[in-house]
Amino acid sequence: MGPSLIEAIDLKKSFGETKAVAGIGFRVEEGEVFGLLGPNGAGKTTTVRMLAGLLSPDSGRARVAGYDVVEEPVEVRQRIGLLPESPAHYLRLTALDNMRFFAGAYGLEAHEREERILELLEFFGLADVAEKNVAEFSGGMRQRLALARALLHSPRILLLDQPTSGIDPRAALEFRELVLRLAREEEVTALICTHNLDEAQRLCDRMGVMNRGEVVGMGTAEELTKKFTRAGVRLRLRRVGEEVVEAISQLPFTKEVSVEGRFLLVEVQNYEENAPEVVRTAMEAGGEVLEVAEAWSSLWDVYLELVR
Amino acid sequence: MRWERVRIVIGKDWKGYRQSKELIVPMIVLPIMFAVFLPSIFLVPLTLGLPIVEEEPAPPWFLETFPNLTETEVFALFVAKAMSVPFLLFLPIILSMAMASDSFAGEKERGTIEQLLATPLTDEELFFGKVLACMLPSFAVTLLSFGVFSTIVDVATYRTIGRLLLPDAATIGAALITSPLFSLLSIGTMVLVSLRVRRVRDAQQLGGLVMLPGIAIVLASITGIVVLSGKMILAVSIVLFFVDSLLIKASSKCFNRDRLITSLI
Repeated sequence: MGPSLIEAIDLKKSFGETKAVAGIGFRVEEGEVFGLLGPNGAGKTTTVRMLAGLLSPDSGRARVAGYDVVEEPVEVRQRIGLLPESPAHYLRLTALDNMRFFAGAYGLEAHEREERILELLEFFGLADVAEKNVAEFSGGMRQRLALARALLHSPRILLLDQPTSGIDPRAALEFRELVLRLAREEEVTALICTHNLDEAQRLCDRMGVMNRGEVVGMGTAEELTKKFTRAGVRLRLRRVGEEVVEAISQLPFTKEVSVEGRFLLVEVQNYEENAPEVVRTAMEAGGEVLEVAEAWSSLWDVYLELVR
Repeated sequence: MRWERVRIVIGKDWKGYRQSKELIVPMIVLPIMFAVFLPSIFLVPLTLGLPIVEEEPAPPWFLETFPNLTETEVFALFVAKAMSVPFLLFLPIILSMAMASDSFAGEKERGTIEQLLATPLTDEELFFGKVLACMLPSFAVTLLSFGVFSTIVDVATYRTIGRLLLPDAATIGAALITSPLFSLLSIGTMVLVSLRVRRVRDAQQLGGLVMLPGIAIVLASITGIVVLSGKMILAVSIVLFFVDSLLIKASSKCFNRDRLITSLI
């Protein structure tokens, strides 16, 4: 890991009365893959747009590749590969012409332009349709073309907003492998916004969970799970009766009891020590226990807890 | 400003325009109307020797220039000459109106604006790329059409006046100086309108206002209220030059990526 290539310090952005980003800060080191997780409206896209020099923060600072996003936005944009949330193409143009335009806009020299375009179209399986108008492309093909476009000028930093949405699982897998290879072998730095926790776990060295414009948790998947997990017992019952809830609530180590359908979620002090007593109490109160599991132990549980 | 990158914006837009019937059809039909159909209306009476009903076929100064001609001949000559300068000012604007309205509003409608703004193209490169992408083809078509218009007028009038009526110093000045300056003002304004609104249709409606000065010049010229002489062309060109300079300065203030992206949210 090297120096920070993406650095956000107390970034804030509001649209009217709505606080889209309410003072977030994080650093992404060179060669690191950093994930921004969060539900819709959490502020991920606004954060990416500020980092790309497309939106000015109301306050706070951000530096990308060593350049201030407000003072030197052209330098920032030259050094990043951006895949927006809803990538669009010039549908009347061919895939090749779309790529040629962006290659020119990023200042690729004429002699390297065609070679680079063909290499990327080949990689993303679009070489055969390079001369076709993009209007004829399927959603998956358009997404792959957008990814190819983001990599066109061999950027050192990738800002990818929902990069694998709309592409099939095999293409998504190949894309994840590509990002990892770029990060590991070429020290490309990537910031990825995603809802997909599985993708985040496979791809990201660290992640920040955003909710209502704030970063509510940050670290590796392990760190987040360790930091935010709660000791809990999840019971699946044939029927959740009030007498069972009442009996478990009375136990001295029980912190909270909640019912979700046929599941009973019991927050305790220590799973291994308290789980047998919870099960015994439920059965004594007339409950038929069908399944017992540890609650709040996965990243998914932590995520749901953080964005609640 | 890096002109190579301006050229890239122009090239991309031209490729898109070439695929659009809505943009190409006016580029073919309107020049034919202006260069062939309109002069024919006024020149047919001349070639057929038909009488005219106007009490004053042309302003007194024009009648004095051609004292030996009939009223039909004077009327045809006057209209042909009076039409030429408005032709050069008005045609490039109506030819480029659809393109200029589409310039940024079209990018917004089609969702390509964010990707375009995320490139390292500067505000100036994008603005001038968009303006020139509209201006250059309409200017080229206007010059070509004016060549056709002049040829038709000259062929029809040469027998009567014994010399070539068009082009003269005023129309050459108008074609090479006033017309591009006026186009830059009108197209630049329409591109700025397109930058501010969200839909192409809104840009077209507001952009239509830009054509009002052009329409006024056409009416004033044809009715003889204003005759655009060489001196007046020069004066108008100087004024346009300064107004264009102000427009270019204003464009950099109007071009606000932040506001453009916020308008998409």
